[in-house]
Amino acid sequence: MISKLSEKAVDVLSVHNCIAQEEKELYVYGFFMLFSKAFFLLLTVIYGVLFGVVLESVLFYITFTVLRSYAGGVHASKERTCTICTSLAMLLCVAAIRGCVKLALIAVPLVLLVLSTICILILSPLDSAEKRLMEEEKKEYRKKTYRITTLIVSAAILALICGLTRLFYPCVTSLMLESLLLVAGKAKGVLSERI
Amino acid sequence: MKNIKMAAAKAAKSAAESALKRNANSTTCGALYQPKAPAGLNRFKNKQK
Repeated sequence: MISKLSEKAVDVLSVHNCIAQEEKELYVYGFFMLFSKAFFLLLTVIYGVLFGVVLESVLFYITFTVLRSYAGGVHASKERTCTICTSLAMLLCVAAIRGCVKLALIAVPLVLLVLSTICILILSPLDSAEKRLMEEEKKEYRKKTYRITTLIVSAAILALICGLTRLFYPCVTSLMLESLLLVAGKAKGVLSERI
Repeated sequence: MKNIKMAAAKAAKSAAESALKRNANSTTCGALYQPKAPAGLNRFKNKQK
């Protein structure tokens, strides 16, 4: 769906002579990135509205996408699978935030924060077959992932100390989802090497 | 009207280029599906290798 929309956008731009024929593929890729982020942001906001945690949902989505961009992780092989999995992951995360807010949980999210951070620090960055990284890039993105993770963890702890638990939960949820994607990506890589 | 359409087309192109630049300088995209990166993506990298 997003691919077709991206192709349509590039076709429209081609009509206006904004994009050369040989650059079409590149711009379809660019629009895909743009539209997919916008689509999942909108979806997360809708979930946030439904669960009554809009601010938390937006914060979760921003921290997650920034972290995911540099840390990497598992990828679906087909666009349709991706749309379903990402939509489901966003729904579960927003529902988890809602659950934590309602039950005022502290201990469980704190344990998850520690475990997720360890996972991210050990496994990132994890590239994919579709976009391989060079050693130099891996070093650079590892540093960036460490910085972003430190920032999110610091924000989460600060929010907890200040009693702003509604900001604490989205930070923990984004770290948790990213760590799960990294573990899944690593497992997928190991399994495909064995086969 | 034609000018407005051209301006909108240029703005859209610029937004796509920003997305390309962000993607070229990161490990992956935000979603769970990563399409095959086109060869032309390298020219959007900050450091040309």
